[in-house]
Amino acid sequence: MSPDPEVVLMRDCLGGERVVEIELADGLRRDALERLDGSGTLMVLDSLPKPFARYDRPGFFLLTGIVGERRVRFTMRLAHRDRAEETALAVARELAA
Amino acid sequence: MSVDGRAVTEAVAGLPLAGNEEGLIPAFGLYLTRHYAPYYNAVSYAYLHHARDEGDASLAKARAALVEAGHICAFNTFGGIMLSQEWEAVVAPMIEERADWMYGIVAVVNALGWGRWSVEDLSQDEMRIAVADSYESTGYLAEHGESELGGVCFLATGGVAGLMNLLYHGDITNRPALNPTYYAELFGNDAGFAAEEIVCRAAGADRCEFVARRQ
Repeated sequence: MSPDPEVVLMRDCLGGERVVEIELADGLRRDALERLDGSGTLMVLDSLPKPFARYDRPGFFLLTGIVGERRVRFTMRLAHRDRAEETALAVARELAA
Repeated sequence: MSVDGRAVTEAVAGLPLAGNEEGLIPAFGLYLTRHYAPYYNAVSYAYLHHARDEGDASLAKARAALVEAGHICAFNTFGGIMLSQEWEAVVAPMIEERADWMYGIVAVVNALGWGRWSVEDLSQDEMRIAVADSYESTGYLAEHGESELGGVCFLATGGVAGLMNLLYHGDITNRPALNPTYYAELFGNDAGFAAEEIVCRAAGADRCEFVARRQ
């Protein structure tokens, strides 16, 4: 079983959104991103020097990261900022599953 | 220099920089806005001209305030970009030495619609940057004609100083927290860099040129 994802940074944007950066136990996988809730939009930019991934659930959160690297960033929308850490960790566990 | 500036600019221009349901553009770990250059220019130059009418002391304060806006913009926007995952994906793979951070961020700036920036000379103590078609000079010429006040690219002036402060006074490569304390450390004393616009298209030059030096 993979170790739990770890929160490495949490800060608030000027507008009030909360950013949570999480380090996964293993590198971010594209197939794991594709399994996330279908209400979000996934974009993986393979043409960049490193494949940049962006998963957006409107009104809820934006997840960004580089496929193959461990650190991912969640930007939680204002309405969900109070549960930012637990939401980010829950999604990170889905990514690690 | 190992950064392919054209490739960086094209890659950034291809990123999905569109507004979300709140009208904001979440990118580079920041919230960007699609800002109307003529609006920013109109506000800036109305302020500048009003200060000019009040006298030299007011004019000097207005210039300093408009450049300070550039410092703040550089600190948050350029600094935020250099700490972002988009930076890690697009620019970081090309970086071999500290100066590459500068060439990389200037290539990113060239995708943002501020004019075409080029680093003419760079050392740890000084940087010279030329800008073709800066939006500030373009706006000034369109609305007011040739400037009798010298250079008018205040945001760019602050931006150029800010870049040097982030890279050669502070150390953005160590991923510092971009908070008010760090801002004061970089800009709140005379130990850092200050910039000036040495020629400006709005004042008759072919292009705008800036130099940042340690104070």
